[in-house]
Amino acid sequence: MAHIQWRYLGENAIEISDISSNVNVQIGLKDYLKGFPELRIASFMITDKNLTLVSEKHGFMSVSNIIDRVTSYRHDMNVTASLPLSIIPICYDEVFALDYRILERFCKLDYEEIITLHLNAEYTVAMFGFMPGFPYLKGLPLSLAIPRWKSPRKVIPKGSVAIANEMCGIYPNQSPGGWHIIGRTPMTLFDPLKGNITSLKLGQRVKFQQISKRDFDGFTPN
Amino acid sequence: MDLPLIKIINSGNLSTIQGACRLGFQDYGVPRAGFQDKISAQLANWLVGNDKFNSLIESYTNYFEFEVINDCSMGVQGACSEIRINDQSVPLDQTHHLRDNDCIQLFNNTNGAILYLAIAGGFAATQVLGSTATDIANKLGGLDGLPLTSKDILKGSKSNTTKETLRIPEGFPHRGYFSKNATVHVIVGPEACLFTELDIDTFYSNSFEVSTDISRVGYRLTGHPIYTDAHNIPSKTTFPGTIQIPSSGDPIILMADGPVTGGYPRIGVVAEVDQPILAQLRPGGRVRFIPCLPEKARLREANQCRWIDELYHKNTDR
Repeated sequence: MAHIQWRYLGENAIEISDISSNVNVQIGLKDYLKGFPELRIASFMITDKNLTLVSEKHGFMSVSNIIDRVTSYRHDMNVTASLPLSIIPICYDEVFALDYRILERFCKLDYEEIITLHLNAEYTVAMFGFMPGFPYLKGLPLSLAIPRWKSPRKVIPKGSVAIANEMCGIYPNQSPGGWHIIGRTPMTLFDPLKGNITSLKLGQRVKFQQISKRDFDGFTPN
Repeated sequence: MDLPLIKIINSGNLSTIQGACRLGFQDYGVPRAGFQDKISAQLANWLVGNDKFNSLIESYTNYFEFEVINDCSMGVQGACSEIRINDQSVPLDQTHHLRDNDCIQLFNNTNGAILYLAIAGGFAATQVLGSTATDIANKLGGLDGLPLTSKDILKGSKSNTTKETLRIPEGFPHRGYFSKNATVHVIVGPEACLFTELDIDTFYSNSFEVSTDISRVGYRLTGHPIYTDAHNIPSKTTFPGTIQIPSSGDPIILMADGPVTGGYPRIGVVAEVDQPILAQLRPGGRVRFIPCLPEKARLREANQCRWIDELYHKNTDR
């Protein structure tokens, strides 16, 4: 990997930036680096285009050795993620789509068109952040991109599916937040007491499937 | 097996069970949580023969009161100016052996913000994702992920008394933490380049006031707003200690429960060695930043760990 850009993030972490807009490259690089325990990397954090490496207790063995390894990494684009496509049920009923009028006005589309665009797109889990289990989904049609609220809402209900800029996200639990809400899923996305703490995985492909309000109310998680 | 140990009479402000950090789940968006001032917390645990990261009570309070239900040994460290057992003032900085029905009052009239109360054997708490630390925002760990309230009964695990009465050695460096103002070392952040030279100069040549907007998630500073146009950058990794500049221009320093990503430019990161000093600042206190190279910060951190390690060693040698 040529032209590595990296910076310290505190004394015990470095951030390699602008790696790729394909999250699978970051995942591949992370898995590759895991194969070198002598580098003393304790944990990894993937954000959009970036990979952050956190050192073990007494620091990295050598940052230049890490950079050498990163440079020597070659991502095989033919290796596609083997995770199955995840289908997320979503209800676009007005009681859930708290911001549909604003979206209609901003995108200059009616809500049926917005729903169709949102349903037809295929997304990728690009990162988790903001709160436990909150997935940042890439792949939103540009015609739906709307900036965040200037001042966040105090309460966004659990399961709300929301849009900010070119990303779609899902609030795994009730929280304050600044994204525009277009619907709600009855699915549980974050369960810290389960072995699989998040229903979605980094790099996984995602599609939404519309359900009625009745189906939403009768939803039983499997 | 869990024995009720104490009943809280007055839980004061922002009291939680804390323990070792919740590491390894940042990738899933889970904050670290854990001690805000790990030095004081580890000293409190040392006083009662615990491991460094045993579960204890952390509190941002000026007054904390509890009743003893079953005999136990107690260590109090951090911001505490007086301990009273049944209305009798007792020395700070040493182990106290409590009997059932004792009434304990802790006062904080110091310049520090946070006190730590450890009981031999630690407090029983829910272990979630490898840690008992309470993360209030995400309702993880502690007692159902909630802050402690008056009337809560805290249980203990196994041996809750010690035979020995330990004392923190005279002149041990932890006392230095509780000053009204502090200077902390900062490793230059990834987005420092987005600020003008003048902004960077403002940042490093002024002291900022700690606002009343402080919590385990973050401390907001005021007094010298720093403006940049680059407020809406894509979300990137943040840690405890990360200093972000939001559109108001007032820096926010993320603390133990801070989110794992943030979309504001990261002007710098407070060196780990200075995070306990920072955490102990009160609203109205002031903080000044000095740029520091990562190697130097690690060296100072290693020294700090050494004092604690030596203290723990002495104890086990005896």
